Amino acid sequence: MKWSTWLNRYTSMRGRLSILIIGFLVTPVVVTAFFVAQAVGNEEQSRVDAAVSGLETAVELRLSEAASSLSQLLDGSLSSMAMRAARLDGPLKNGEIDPFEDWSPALRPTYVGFVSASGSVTPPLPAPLADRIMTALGRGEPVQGHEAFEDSSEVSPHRLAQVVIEPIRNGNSIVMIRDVSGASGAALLSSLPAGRLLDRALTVKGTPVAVTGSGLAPDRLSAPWLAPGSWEVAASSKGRQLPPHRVWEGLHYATVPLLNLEGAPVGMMALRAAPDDVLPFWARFGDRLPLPHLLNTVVGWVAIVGVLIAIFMGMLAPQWIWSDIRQSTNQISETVQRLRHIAGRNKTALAEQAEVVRTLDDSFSNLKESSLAIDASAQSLARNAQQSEQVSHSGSESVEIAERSMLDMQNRVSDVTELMEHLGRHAHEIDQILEYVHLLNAGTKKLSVNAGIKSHDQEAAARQLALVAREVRDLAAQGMDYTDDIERRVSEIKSSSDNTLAASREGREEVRRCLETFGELQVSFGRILHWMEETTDFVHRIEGSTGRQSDSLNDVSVSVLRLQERATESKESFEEVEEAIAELATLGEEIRMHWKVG
Amino acid sequence: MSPPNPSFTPQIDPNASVQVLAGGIRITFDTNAVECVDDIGNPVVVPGATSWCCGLVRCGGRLMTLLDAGLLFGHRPCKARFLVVLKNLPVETALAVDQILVDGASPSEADVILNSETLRDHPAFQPGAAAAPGAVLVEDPS
Repeated sequence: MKWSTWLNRYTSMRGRLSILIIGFLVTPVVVTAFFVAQAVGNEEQSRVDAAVSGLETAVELRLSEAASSLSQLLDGSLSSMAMRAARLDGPLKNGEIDPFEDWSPALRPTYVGFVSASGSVTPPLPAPLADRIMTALGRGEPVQGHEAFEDSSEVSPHRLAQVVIEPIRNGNSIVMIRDVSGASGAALLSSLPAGRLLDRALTVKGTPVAVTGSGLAPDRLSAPWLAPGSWEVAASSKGRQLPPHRVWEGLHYATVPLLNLEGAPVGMMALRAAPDDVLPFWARFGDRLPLPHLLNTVVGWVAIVGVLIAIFMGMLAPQWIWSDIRQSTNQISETVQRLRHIAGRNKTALAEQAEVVRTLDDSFSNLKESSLAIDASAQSLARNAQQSEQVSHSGSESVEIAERSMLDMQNRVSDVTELMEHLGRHAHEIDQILEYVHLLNAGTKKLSVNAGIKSHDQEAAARQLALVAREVRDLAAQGMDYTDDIERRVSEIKSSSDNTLAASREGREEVRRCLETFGELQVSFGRILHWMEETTDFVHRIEGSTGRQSDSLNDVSVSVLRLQERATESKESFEEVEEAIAELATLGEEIRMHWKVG
Repeated sequence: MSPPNPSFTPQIDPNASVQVLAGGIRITFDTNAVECVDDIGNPVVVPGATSWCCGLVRCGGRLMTLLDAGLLFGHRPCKARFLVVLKNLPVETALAVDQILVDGASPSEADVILNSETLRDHPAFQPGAAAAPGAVLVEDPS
């Protein structure tokens, strides 16, 4: 698993942010503050110690502290050996797992013995230390310390060992011995954290113990590097808080006495160092703590770089740490906007649906009213039709009567026409007669005038008078003929007139009856016309109602279509809402996994 | 040549007069100037005659000149329904009139009163008076 994947899975966003903040902001500040405080504190402590013990330099203080620390570590190694001895129940048996395998080789005891309550020791004690150990065993209490012994087989016979006697149950005891000279001693000294540059040595009184293989320079193994009088100073410094310090040939020495099982000094641990080996870089400038110089040191630069990196990371944090948050928030915002838009569309669709439903309701109301109006109009039409049928039936009878009357009148008119034609012929004849009469009158007039003229002419009176008489006689005869003819014509005309008059009377009666019938017909047709007008009106109403019905049905159709569209839109909107909810659920799951709290 | 109109009114016996209507006026003829009255018949138009000369007409077996009394004495041409045959004139002449009146009205109420003397002196009743200017006259061989 990649570290980034592991980091994202098992750490929260705030945890990662905390890591960044602590790693790049707080740590440099804390480190800087620690070192500054330590420097200030060391400086202050140096001033205090100098005032208390008379020490003049920080080097002396630091070296003494290192020596004290080493001494405590040596005592600690004794204590750890004693604690391990207290857990042993008996002597180590052959074939058992070494109980000290978890210790480094430098710290492992070179001898572990079991001392029974009777005083037997298993395995036997090393000869050089047997007497002193037995003496310490007699005390019956836990003791520990350093013991010096001689070993003629070694190049340097002076050897030093750490001895621990730990009583266990039933009066038994465990004795553990660690040889701190030679290679094991060098390893032990090298493992103690006291600064790599510090030279250290264990001595039996004034004689250093061989520490070959420690990595120290060979020239440091020789006795001259130990300052003369150091053993005496160390031996006399038992119980002091700080090991004594001496300066010799530019080097600083600090010594710590090593006590034996009886508590008497038997050797010492010496440290040698140059001032640069001991003091921190800022303390090399004396008793002052220059802040500008702090900026030129490695720690200062680390702190500054760390702060800058923290600021830079803080500026980049939104791009890195918050990127997933921003992405998630953006996605949430987009999804919310989509949901809001969908909600708005749904609101509009629902409003339109309500409007459509209201329109449908109005359309149905109009349909109902139109249907009622059509029904009423149809009923009125039915009544009118029935009445019209009745009237038409009676009108039909009246028409038949009128038709018969008309036929009769037609016959009468034909008769009258014939009579009138006959009268017309007679009238023509009368015109002829009148013309004859007119001629007669004119002739008579002329005759009378001529007679008057001739009456004044006596010479031709007789002749003319006879002529006149003849003409008058002719005229008279002609007049009589004409008169007879006129009388005959007049009688015929009179007869025709009587017939015509009778026919006219009958025709007048027929006309009267026809007029009455036509009057009735007029009334009937008037009623029919009125009903037809009403029917036309009803038909118009029905037409209007039907038109309104058609319009209402069209409105219903349009409304249903709109409802269908709104329903489709609502369905699509809900599907989109469902998708948005699924996206939000997925986003929520991602947020739960990524935005771990704590 | 315009027809001359008489300018005097002779005295006529009402019982011896013939009254006619012609051209919108009432004319009274003394019976001594009238031979007879008759229907107009069928007058024959004579080319080259004056406008008041209707032509020739036959009456009583005699051929005579027919003159328009309305143009001669009245205001307008008459309808020529009757003719009044005149006598005691140098030319056999008849006057075309519209109507012969027998209503017994007084002759003095007429617009024009004519007798033989006035007719004889009238230039329209002279021989050759009916010829239009420029017309060729044929002398009577007798």
